[in-house]
Amino acid sequence: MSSFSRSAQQWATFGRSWYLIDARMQPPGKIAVMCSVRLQGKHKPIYHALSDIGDHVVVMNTRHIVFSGNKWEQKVYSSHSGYPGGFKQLTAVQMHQKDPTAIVKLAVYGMLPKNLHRRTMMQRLHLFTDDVLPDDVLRNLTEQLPQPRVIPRKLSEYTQEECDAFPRLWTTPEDYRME
Amino acid sequence: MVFLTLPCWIRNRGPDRYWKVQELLKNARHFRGRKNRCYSLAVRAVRRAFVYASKARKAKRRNMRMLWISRIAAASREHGMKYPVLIYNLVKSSVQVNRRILSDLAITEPRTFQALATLAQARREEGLRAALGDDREPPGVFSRIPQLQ
Amino acid sequence: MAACRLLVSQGVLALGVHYQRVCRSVVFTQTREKKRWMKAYTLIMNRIRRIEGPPPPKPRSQQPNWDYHAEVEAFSIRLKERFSTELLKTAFVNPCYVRSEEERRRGLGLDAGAAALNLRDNTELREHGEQFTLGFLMDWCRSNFPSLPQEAAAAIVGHLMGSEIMCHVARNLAMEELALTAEFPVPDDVLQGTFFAVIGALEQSSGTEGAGLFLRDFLLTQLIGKDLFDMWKVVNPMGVLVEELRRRGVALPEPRLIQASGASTVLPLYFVGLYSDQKLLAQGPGETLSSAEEEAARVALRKLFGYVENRKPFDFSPAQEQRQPAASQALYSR
Repeated sequence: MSSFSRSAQQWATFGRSWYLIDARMQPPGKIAVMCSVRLQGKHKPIYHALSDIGDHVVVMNTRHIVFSGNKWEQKVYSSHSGYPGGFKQLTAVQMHQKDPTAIVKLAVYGMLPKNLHRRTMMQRLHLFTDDVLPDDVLRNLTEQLPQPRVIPRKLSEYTQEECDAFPRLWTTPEDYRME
Repeated sequence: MVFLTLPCWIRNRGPDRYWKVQELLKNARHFRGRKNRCYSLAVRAVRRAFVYASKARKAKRRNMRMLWISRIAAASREHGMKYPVLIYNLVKSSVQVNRRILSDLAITEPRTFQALATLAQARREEGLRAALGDDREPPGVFSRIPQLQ
Repeated sequence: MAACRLLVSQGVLALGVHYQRVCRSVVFTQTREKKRWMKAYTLIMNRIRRIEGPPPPKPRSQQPNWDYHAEVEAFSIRLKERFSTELLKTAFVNPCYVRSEEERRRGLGLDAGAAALNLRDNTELREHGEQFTLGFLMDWCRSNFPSLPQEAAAAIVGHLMGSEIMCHVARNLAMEELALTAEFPVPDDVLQGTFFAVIGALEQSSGTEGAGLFLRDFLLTQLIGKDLFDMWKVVNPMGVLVEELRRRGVALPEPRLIQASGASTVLPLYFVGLYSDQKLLAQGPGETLSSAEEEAARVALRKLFGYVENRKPFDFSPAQEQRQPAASQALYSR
């Protein structure tokens, strides 16, 4: 990797890469952590807060994010327009129905440093509701990042052999009556 | 002292004020607005600036250390390790490289940094390997364990 | 001022107060007290400096406390080289100095016989030094980079012997002050010639080996941190690479796109790898595919010629130590 010319090395060092994250069945907080690290450039050893070396991040399938617990009903997104009576509160479900990208976007926005670079970094975040990406974004992509959480399989996706081979804690007695 | 004439008394007063003003304005020439030419405004600004400079001399050390740490953290994540793990295991292997040099190595000599990361990783898994009955070192790693005597 | 006059009239002259007109508007009053004239004087001097610009540089030889002989002796001692003083002094005499000095004497009214300066100038030494430097540098390049082609070695030597590097070294060795020239600051070509003459004088006074070590220590160190293609301008590296591979009998390079990022943005980055016979020769980054390919060819050339960034550092150890590893190697090889 060594002995590049200086200009070429500079170009390669400060080139922006494009990462793809698949948010299907992922908690938005974990997605946002990965995004904010890469948007700030904190994954590079040449990091400096002022050198503007953040990368682009493309998040797809934001419609299919998941929350644990009862956050869908309980989590509240509040905003105030500044006018009297301008206080609005939306639960996560309502927010998601209104805009499927809003939850991930707000999570990333909250994790970025609160300074003048925040809007610039947000412009390098590209959110897509489904797994259909426009062609010019697809051509830019460099690599896909592994998902932070392993997607659990549904019972219906297990075959009968796997179900039978699954270790059991106890065997139900013959006369056990399921309610 | 006795002054026979008024001029003699006038001369005896303090040093030439011009030089005192210039001495101070020298430190304020790069300020913005009238602070860079009016003495009475410049006095306060220069005083504040010197206070900031004194504080910044300490803050600089702290900020530089924070920067090195975030750089080392980024580089060690590339090798699948978190920052505290890397530093802890390097200290255990008695690698006496400070954070400034580590971050320089991560930028300019990534292979050297990778070697250090491999060493730390080997040191980290040493106990587990010994417990599993395999106390050989992974190929290519020489982590000399310091013997206390 | 009135006060001063009053004092003068009162007969305070005995205290040492007197007037002296320095400038039209500044009255220089020498007193043993506060220097009230200093402000006006400083302002006027600043204004003069602003109007006239900085004064022309004055050679050290025209400033006080200058002993040419002692300085020349100090020069050789400072460099820890054994110069013969006559040769060194001759090396510093440039033909333009002799000519201008004779002209000056003739202008003063001396006749031709008396005006002639019986000084040997450094023309012979200069040629001798240039020949020696050229030969030494070429030999050094061949021994350190055996696979470097002839024109690349010539380019490196030409870069080292060019006036930019030579003048930089000579100025930092304080040759500009010692050189006897017609004009000051010394023009680059004259200074370069003087440096060659000094090298020639060293070669004649302390032998080839000493002069070689001098060149190694002072001239070849300028190669540190230099890139091969900074010195050797290659327009078409791919052509050179193809030629080189054909000469070595290796399969011709085949460029392939390895990585790309941001292809549809205004800041794209491509990595192109050059494969020869299914093996990766080199890879290079670039803004476009063609520039990346060219960069990859340059990297491949550097690798083939052994001028990579992570090569073994040049050997600048002292002369005695240089031989010992060779002897120990010989022992081991037995």
